[in-house]
Order: sequence, then C-alpha cells, then structure tokens
Amino acid sequence: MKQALTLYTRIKRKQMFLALILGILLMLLQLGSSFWQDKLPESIYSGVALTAGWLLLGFVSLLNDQSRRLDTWLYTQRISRGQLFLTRVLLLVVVPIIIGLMVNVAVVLCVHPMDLWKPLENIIEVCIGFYFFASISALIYTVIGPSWMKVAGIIFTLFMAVTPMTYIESKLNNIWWLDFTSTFILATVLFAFSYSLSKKISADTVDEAVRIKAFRWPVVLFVFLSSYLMILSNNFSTLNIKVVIGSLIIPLIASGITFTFVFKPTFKITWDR
Amino acid sequence: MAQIQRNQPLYEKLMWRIKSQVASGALSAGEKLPSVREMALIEGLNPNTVAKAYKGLETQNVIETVAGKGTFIRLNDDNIVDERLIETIHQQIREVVIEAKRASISSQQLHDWIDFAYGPGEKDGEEKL
Amino acid sequence: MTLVIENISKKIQDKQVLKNVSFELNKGEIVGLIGRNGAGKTTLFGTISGELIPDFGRIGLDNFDYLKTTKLHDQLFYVNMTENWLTYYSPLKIKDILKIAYRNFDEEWYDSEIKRFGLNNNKRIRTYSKGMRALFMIIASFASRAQYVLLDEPLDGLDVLIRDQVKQLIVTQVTNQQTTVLIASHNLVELNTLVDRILLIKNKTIDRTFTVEDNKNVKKYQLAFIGEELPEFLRDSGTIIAQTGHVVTIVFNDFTEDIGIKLAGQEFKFVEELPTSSEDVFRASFAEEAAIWQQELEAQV
Repeated sequence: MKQALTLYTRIKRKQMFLALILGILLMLLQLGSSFWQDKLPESIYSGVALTAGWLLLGFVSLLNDQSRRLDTWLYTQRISRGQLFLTRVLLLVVVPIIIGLMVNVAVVLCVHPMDLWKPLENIIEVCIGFYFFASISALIYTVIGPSWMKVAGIIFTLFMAVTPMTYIESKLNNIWWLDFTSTFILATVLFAFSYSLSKKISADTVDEAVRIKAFRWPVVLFVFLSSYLMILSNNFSTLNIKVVIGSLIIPLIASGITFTFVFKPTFKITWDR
Repeated sequence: MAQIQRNQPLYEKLMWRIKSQVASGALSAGEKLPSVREMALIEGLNPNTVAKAYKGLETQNVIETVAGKGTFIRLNDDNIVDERLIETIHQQIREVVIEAKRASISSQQLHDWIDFAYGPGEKDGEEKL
Repeated sequence: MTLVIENISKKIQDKQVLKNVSFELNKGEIVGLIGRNGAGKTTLFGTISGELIPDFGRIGLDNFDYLKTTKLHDQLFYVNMTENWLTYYSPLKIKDILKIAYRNFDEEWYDSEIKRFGLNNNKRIRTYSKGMRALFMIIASFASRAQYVLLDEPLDGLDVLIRDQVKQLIVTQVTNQQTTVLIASHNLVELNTLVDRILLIKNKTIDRTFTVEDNKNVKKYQLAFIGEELPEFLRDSGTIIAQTGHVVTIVFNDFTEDIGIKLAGQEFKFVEELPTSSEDVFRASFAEEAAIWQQELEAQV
C-alpha cells in the first residue's frame, strides 16, 4: 500500500498541486465575496469551495489517467488493483474533504458567529454530501468504460437520486445524526463495493460501456426503473392508467439507448448490388 | 573465402574461420572472443549456430570458457598450433579446388600453379597435404 | 528463475483470442514470438504483464502466482511500444517515476544511454521520431533491471541503422545482465541473429516451438525443372525460397540420399548446389507452412 501511495503521488504530484491551487483560489473567492458583501456567515463555506475545486479537478485527472493509459500501466506495477483504488479514494476524496473541513472549522472559529452549532452542522452535511457524491462517482468510474459515458452516467444517476434523496431526507430531517450516519454508511458501503469490483477490471474492457459482464443487464434495468419511477413519482397526484403507460415512453427510449451501447448489437445493413 | 565451401554447416565454417585466425596469429592466446550473442550479431548467424561452433572449438582445445568471464583463445603448446595450421591449409586447398572446378580449371593446371609457387627443388612438399 | 505460462485463455469482447497458451521462459534466454498481425501477440503480452486479467490459466514465477504476487511485479517490464503513458513525459521525468516503480532501476546506465544516443532529456517522448521512441523504450525497459523484458515489435518500422543499434543494445544487455527477453515480431527472418528459439502463435495458441538446427543435412539448390508442374516431391521435402518460371531455389531441411537420386533424374534441366546462408537454415528450421506463411506476409508488404 505504501508503494501505491508513493508511486501514485509521485506521478500525480503536479495535478494534485494544481487541484490544491484551484481549491485555494475558490476558497479565497468565496471568502472575499462574503466579506465584500458583508455576509460574514457565508465565509464559512470557503472550505467547501476548496473541497469542491479539488474533487472536480481530481475527477478530471482520473479521466485523463484512463485516456493516457496510465491505468493500464499501473496494472502492471508493484501495486494491486485494489491498492490503486484505495489510493485514489484516499488522495482524491478523503484528503480534500478533510482539509476542506479543517479550513471550515478554522474559519468558523475565527468568524465567531452567534450560533456556533448551526454552521458546523451545515458544513458536515455538505462534506457528507461530497463523500456520497464521490462514492457514486467511484462506482460509475469503475464499472463504466468510456470517459463520456462515465460523465453521462454520473449526471444521470445524480439526477435520478435527487427525488428519493430529498424525500428520505425530509423524513429524517428531525433526527440529523441519523441522516448523516445513514448517508455516510451508505457511501462507505458503495466504496467497499467498488473496491471489490476494481479488482476485476481488465484493461481490454476500456472501450466497453459496462466493464463487468454480470452488470450489463442490471445497468439497463437500472436506467429503465429509475427513470420510470421518477416520472411516476412526479405525476403521483394524477395517477391513472394513461399516465402509467404514457410514462413508459421516456424510460423505454432511455433504456433502449443504454442497451445498444452496452451490448453493441451489430445491425447488419446490406445494400443490394 | 568461406562462401566458396558448400555442403558444410555454418557452425563448421565459423570454426574454421576462428581456427585459421588463430593459426595466422590474428587471434593470439588469451585473447577474448565476443560472447555467443555478440558473435551471432557480428556474423549474421543464429546464436545456436555460434554456440555449436564454440562448443566444437572447446572440445578441440582451441578455446576455453571461463564461467562469468567469457570465452578465450587457449594458451596452447606448439603441437596444437602445428596441427591446426595443417588443418587450415588443407581446408583452404579444398576450397580452392571447388572454385577451380567451377571455373573449369584442370587438376594439372592447378598442380602447375602450385609447383610454380613453391619454386624449383621443392616439388614434393604438397604430397603430404 | 523461470517464468511459466500455463494454459492461458482470454476472450476479448466475447471473441476467443488466446486458448490454452503454455510456454516457459528461462533465465538469460531471448525467445521470439512470431505470429500474424492480430494473432494475439499483444494480448498475450498484456496478459503476462497484468494489464489484462486472463479468463483461465496461471502465470508462475518461482513457485509464486505472478499475477497475484504484486511485490514481484518489478521483475517484469512491459509497455506497449507505441501507445503508453510514458510518451507524455520527458526522459528526465520518467526517470523519477521509474526509480520508484522498479527497485533495481539503473539510473547511471539510463543516463549514459540517453546521452549516448543523443536523446533530448527534456522533450516529451511523443515528440520523438519513431526510431528514437523505440530506442528510448528499450533503454527504459533494460534500465528497470527487471529479470523479464517483453518487447512487442520493437523493430517494426525502424530503418536499418537504428534496427542494428536496437539489436546491439538487446544483445549487450542480455549478455551482461542475464535478462530474459520475449520479443514479438511478424517478421520471422528479422529475429534470426537474436533468438535462441521461436514460438509460433497460431490458431489462438502456441502452435510450435522452433530451434535453429544447424546440421549437415541442410542443403540449398537452384534447379530448373522440365515439365509443366513443379515436381511434387520438392514441395514435400523442401522449402521453396524463390521461383521464377521453371527456375526454383529450394532449401532442404533434411537432405537425404533419396532426394539426391531424384534430383539426378530426367525431370530437371539443371541442378546446382548453392551455399547455405544462416537465413536459409533459419527458414528451413520452420515447418513448411510457416515458411509459406512468411512469404505471404512478405508479399503483402
């Protein structure tokens, strides 16, 4: 594991430095604007800005790793696939969140707002949100092959997750710690799952939509069910047979497109000579 | 010269070449030969061919291989040199004869040339070869 | 130290590419891997090095399961010659990374070779010419001081001068370091002066192993036949190297008295024995089908 950390940080030193700079810039921007506008309480989000910048750049550099075939080379190295996964989670997710959190706490203590607890609660909520977001991204980065599909997959999944998440959150909102811990545990489980999958990734599947064979159908089903449920839930008040059937159209199209990308059926088109 | 000889495996040709170089003094005792792989590259031969030639030369006591150091021309006594010299000359004559046949030069003509080369009074020399 | 490839099978996009591939690589050997383009050479290299996960089979290194024993992974060096991430960096930066990646990395030798060949230390490998890029990849491979070096078509597309330099580099390193090299090529004769033996990859597996047998029975003839058709026994007992009209150049791998009698027969206008070259012996060491296939390939180019 030490070898994995040493090697990866050595390779990514430049990008990580860049990510840190971007994070700090965003942080300063946030700090400056909140001072400027005399909204001191908002300055507590400067650490959040730092984390967001770092996470974003981290993800872009991951995509870059794949297109430059760094992933492929690392598979041949004195580190296992699992160690590579853990290294990335540590350097590109855990470290930026913790540093952002520390900056936040420091700023909060400096600004000394009336209510010390409320802003801290907000910050922790945002951090756990980042962590959850990262766990979904990690799963999709692992399972999906081409870069643009990874990005599309993450956007789609987050979009689909909004409705059920806000619903659950509204139920749990009174007991904030339950909300936090359940999200945290769910995200950690997702990371653990992706970790176990990462050991099965072979470099030759890089151009395949779904890199693990057993996940091909589940992915198609997921696209269908999640989009169907979302449309249904939006029309919950006017639920009738017409709506139930009419709502099928978009999910069918979406899952149909997914199917063609995943299974790549080759339709033979022939012209008569 | 080597290309003239037919029916002879490549490793034997290489053996002859090295032996004649030793005989002529181009290679002297204790001198290091290129490694099998280097020799293969230099001579345009497969490493197996070179290895076979080296092994042959080793059994004939022409060269010796010192583990970890390389292959060297053996420190040899005069007897071996003499034998080798004779062998080399014999080989060269055979090659000349083959070329001569190709050029339709008669045996008599060849003998005459040899006699001439020897000069007067030494005519019996070639019979021993 | 032996690397044992045992029954490796691999499908790519549901297509069988390798099936039950087995062979061994011993210390200090240079072994050639020959096969048509698309025969699975690169897949095999990718699988041995750990880039790809085999569907079936095992790679053993001294009683260890190589693929599962990551601590041994600096004992083998492989990168794809043309497409690999190193090309996005300069030799100077690559050195920093390889120093961490390979415990025995030979910095001194690396620097001296970069200098010897006049490679620009600060320019990205991508910007190099093809020949210089290949040269650099070979320097990096051997500088790793890995026991096993896999080279995929290292001579492909290089001009003669650089090709000789590359061969020289390989030979010197193998001699000095006892490195084991597996070298792939679609050009059979190219490997003649380098390899101890040749693995032929065909029909998804290692079809045969060849060793050059330099024996007295290899003979080369030029002859002209009289009839319309090439006498059948020629094709059966020898490898035809060239044919223009009725004139044929042929190498007999195992020249017997029987063949000699047939050659003296009425079917031929003239028969002349030619001196055999190393290349002839090399070709003759292969089964006839391999030689024919090689001609096909050469005709395509």
